[in-house]
Amino acid sequence: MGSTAGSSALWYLTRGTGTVTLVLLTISVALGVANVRRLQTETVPRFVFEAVHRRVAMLGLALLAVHIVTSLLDPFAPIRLIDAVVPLVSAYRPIWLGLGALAFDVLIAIVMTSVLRRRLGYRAWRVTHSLAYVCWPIALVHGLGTGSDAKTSWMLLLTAGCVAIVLVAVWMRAAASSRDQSGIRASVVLASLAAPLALVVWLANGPLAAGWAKRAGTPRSLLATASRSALSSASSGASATSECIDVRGKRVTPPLVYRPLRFQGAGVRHGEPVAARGWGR
Amino acid sequence: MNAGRDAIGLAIAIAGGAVAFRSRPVNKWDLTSGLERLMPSLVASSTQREQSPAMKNLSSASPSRLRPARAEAGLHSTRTRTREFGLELIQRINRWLVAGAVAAVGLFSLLAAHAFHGTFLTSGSSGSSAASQSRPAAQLARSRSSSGNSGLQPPAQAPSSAPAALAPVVSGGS
Repeated sequence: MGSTAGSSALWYLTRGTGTVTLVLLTISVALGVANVRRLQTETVPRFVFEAVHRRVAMLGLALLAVHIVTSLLDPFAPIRLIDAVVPLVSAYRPIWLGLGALAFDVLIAIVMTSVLRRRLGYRAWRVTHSLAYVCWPIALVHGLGTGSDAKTSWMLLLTAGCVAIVLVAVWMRAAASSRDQSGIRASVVLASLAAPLALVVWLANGPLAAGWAKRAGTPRSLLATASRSALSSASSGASATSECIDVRGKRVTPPLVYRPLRFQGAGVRHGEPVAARGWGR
Repeated sequence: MNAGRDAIGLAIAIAGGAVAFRSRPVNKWDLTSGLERLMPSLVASSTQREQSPAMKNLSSASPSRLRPARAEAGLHSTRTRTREFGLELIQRINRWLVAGAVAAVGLFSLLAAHAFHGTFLTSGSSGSSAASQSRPAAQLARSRSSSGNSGLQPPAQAPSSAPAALAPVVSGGS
């Protein structure tokens, strides 16, 4: 019972830290753009923006570490340490978890080059730092592709808010760029308009559509477990005792049957395996 | 014994204070502006006293030349004040940021738990009370994977026909 509570707590903590990390990353990107634009007010000097940008990024990194550690400790999904660092090697949703690993690697590179900025030189730092514009959407897509809460309304609203903040920041940056960079400015504006549209189309056909768990690359054994649990749950009914024949031909009582309480909130659809921690999504 | 310890502590405190006092950057503009605020006449007289005759002549000849220096001093003190305010603001924001992030993690974890969580039913228990007992399915999956039963396995013995006494009874029969 204790391990169960601990496991569930780890799972909730993973989701909570992942969400807050995305928010912090969004704030950091927006403040970075504001800092580049030499933004300051009469009362708030510019170095405050710079310091807060740095501290938000460091706090996001700390929460990201907690997110990774809780994901590794959670016994539910088979995620190894190497999966958190090396993209596309995971057995569990390799592409979408791999995007998270990639975002983590890029973020580490950004932070390290920022710490060693004086030794590296401005140009190297700037080139690496501009990867933040790549890191943020990768992290966003990772959250939507792997996260269990991608179908919930609050998560969708939060994602929309994060996208809006970064879009406004990018547009402000593009508007403040010099006239000889008009080509870059136009391409940035076009990309910033096309990217949200692509995100919406992908969301509708991907994480929000039926059978995403299977298509996302959830291991078959996990899906089969969830499916078996669903079948057992359905056959057992409200009060009946379910019994089945095990592989050795003995009549046994299945020890535990997983059944989500909130079918509506969990986004579980009829005909799919019951979502065990988001597998059936 | 206690007195000796207190003395050592006092000495360390004094030494620390002295180091802190020495290491504290002294801004002459701050001192000047502070003195000016406290005793404007005294400062004015002392600056006049310290001036050499040549400087006196210069200042009497062109008093406007002193204005840029004063303006610079004022600007400097404003900058210092802004910097101190900014540093305080950063500290405050930092504190609120950490507290807010921790609170947000808790809030979103609760939201996540509320939005989508599962319960594990023990068979034989009713649906309403089933939520009280739970166990992660991962343990089941892990135990299966560790024992090597990753998929379906053939039965250990062949199925045999059921005895006649245990023939299925059709309901509704007389």
